[in-house]
Amino acid sequence: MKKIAALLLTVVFIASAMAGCGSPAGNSTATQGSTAPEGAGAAVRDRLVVAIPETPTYVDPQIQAAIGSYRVVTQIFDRLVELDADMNLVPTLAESWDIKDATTTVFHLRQGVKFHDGNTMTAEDVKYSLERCIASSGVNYNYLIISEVNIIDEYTVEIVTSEPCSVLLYRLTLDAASIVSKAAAESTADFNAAPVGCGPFKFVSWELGGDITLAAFEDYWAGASPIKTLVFKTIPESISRTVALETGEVDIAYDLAATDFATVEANPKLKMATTTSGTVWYVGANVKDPILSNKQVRQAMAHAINKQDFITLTFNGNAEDARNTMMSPYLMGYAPDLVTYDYDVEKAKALLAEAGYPNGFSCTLYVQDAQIYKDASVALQEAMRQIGITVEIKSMDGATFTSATSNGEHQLFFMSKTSIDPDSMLRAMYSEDSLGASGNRTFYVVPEIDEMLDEALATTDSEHAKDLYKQIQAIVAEDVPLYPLAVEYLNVGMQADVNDFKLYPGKTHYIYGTHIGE
Amino acid sequence: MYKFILKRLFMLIPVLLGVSFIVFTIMSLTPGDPVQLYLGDNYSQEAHDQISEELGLNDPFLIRYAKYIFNALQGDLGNTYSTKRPVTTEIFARFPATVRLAGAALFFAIAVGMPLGIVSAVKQYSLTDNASMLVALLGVSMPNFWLGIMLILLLAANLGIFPASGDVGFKSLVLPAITLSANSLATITRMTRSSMLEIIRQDYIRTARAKGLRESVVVFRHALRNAMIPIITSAGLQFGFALGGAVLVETVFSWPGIGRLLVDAIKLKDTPLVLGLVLVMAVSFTVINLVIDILYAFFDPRVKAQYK
Repeated sequence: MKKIAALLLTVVFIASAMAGCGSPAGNSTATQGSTAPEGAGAAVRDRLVVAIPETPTYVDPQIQAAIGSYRVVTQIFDRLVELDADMNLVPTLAESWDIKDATTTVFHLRQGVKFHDGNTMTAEDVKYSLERCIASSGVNYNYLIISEVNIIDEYTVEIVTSEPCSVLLYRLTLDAASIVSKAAAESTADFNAAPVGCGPFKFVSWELGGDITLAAFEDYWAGASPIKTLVFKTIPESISRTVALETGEVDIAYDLAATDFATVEANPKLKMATTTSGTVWYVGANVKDPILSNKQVRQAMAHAINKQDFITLTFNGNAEDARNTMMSPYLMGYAPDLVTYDYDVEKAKALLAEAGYPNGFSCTLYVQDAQIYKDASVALQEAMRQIGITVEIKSMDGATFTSATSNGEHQLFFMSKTSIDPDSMLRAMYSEDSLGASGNRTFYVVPEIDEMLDEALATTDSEHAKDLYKQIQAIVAEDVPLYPLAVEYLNVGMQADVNDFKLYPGKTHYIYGTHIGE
Repeated sequence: MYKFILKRLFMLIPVLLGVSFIVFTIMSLTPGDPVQLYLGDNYSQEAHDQISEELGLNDPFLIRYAKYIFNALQGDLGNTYSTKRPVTTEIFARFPATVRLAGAALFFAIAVGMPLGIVSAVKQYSLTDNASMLVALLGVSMPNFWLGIMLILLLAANLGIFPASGDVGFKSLVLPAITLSANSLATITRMTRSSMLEIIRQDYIRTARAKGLRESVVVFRHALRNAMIPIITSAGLQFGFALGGAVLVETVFSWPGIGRLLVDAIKLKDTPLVLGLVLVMAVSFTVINLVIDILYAFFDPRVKAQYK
């Protein structure tokens, strides 16, 4: 009897040892990935593994506009102009441009730029790419204003817009305006399976549900990247991304949880980088609602929110005060604090009483079913409770939230908006053009704002445009159809020997320029 | 026997029709417009109408369902909304990873759980018995995402023995498989123990012992084989759950299987993909049940006689 028990226990231990300790020696090469210094530590690491939180959907830039996909796409394709990490326009595939008149811009293309398939980039490709973008309903929202793309000669292209568009250059920096190889896109039925651009990295492989592998493009016009293999690995859980950094499975991990910052910073083998993003979080009021249509009510609500506490509670301090404008500090015409609402409960109560609600009222707050929204909704509920407003939180999945707020079923809602140009931000938030799904979920309409937006878009005088944007920001700061709360920080954790990595406020960090070691 | 199998396979048809109808109805009734998710924050009404037409969302509910079933009968589960690739391509690219994970978890659960259960039964109320019942209790009560994170922190982050995430060869299978097996291991241990305890008290075991058989022969040939039926049932069911229900484990370990795909699909309201995944899960579950029933016959001649 004892013998059998002992035998069985041995079996158990052997079985668990087999399953548990696997083959520590057997498969060691498969997982070493990036950081194991091969051999005697002599070889230079030229393989970079990046952990991303969302699975990319497409590597063709012109199917659907999504940050998750563009974080990979942006490495494969170049655009005519690009934004650097400080949000300045830099010539890329276009060496220079002339503004011919209010609706026409002429681009002089860089010569001798090669696509990954060996073809040379010409005006044909530019025309083809932009027209391909305009024809694709998933990405064309910003480009419908382009009426013609004309080829002047092999290296000169003219873009004509149906109306004056002073922010055209900014829109051309977005990934949807990527320049694709016409020959490749026309010859293959599935460009998404074999994308060809002229960016610093070329597409190698993408297994469904698995990693995406890119390789340095040796003929890149600005010189080949020292990173020869670039791998994007989807790791949805933020704690798993941190651990993958710690174990050295990945070199760079995007979007770490604020709770992990201290761990990463304390680790001598790792470092962090943060920057202010172009994403602004706000609480909006449906101004079609009989109570919320009253400006004093909205101002009272603004006075009831302690933004510093809100940022601490919701973002763990990982954001900065939005200073009562939806524009992020990077945007042309950024005008903070034109009207301010100090945290002042007494004043808020007085305003509410003046508006005819001395005892407050009840209203709904629509939020999505995700952590940041949950934290924010509790903080907002508490802020409103102080002045007698009872907030009922309605939490729902993303699809339901988008539909409900587009249809105006809500009273209050909490949301964010990312933008890289003033027109698309202010137009989406405050214009009659974008009521509902296009962005204006407060249903706030002031004809004067629409006129000023059009005028700012039409003028070639950037000072005048800035002035107009400032006036708009002043009007909406006073009316507060929505109250901007926080500008989110972006962060990335990386191995200490990863150098010159830059964070881009638009979230699609551009890897070219990054290197390992000296 | 063949007639029995054939009959069972025919029963798949109403099951699949029922499952697809329920899922189709739920996906249609839940609020949220897939087109909006498809197009993002900013789009024009024309784009919305165009995509809506392309996806066939403008037809009435029953027409859409009928069309779906008509195509599904020809093996076409449609294209996903999000990637536009065929649903079958998306699912079968990830299914092997899930099967591998579920298989490894089941292997681990049986390899550890059964011996533990047998020892516990043979030596009832001994230290081994109490210890293994404690393990079983822990295995059932611990949420597996938590266990997964703890294993990652200990064995991947601190000791660096295993990779923390992804599917990069055998080593990366170990942690998710252990995590996923915790629950089944516990169930199998308890099942084996109680089933063995019952058998061990039977007269024929006493007879076997009385005629002087070695204890190992008594335990393994006479007791265990008769105790197998409930053990197989629970192991099979656990395997079925692992095939479809590894959602949390797959997410924690970034395992590229169908559990994670299902979560993404539900978030995106990608109806064709959700339907396809649920159908695949329903088929696997039914097939596993059938295999269990066939295994009964193998272990118990009385059951075999009934199948004729």
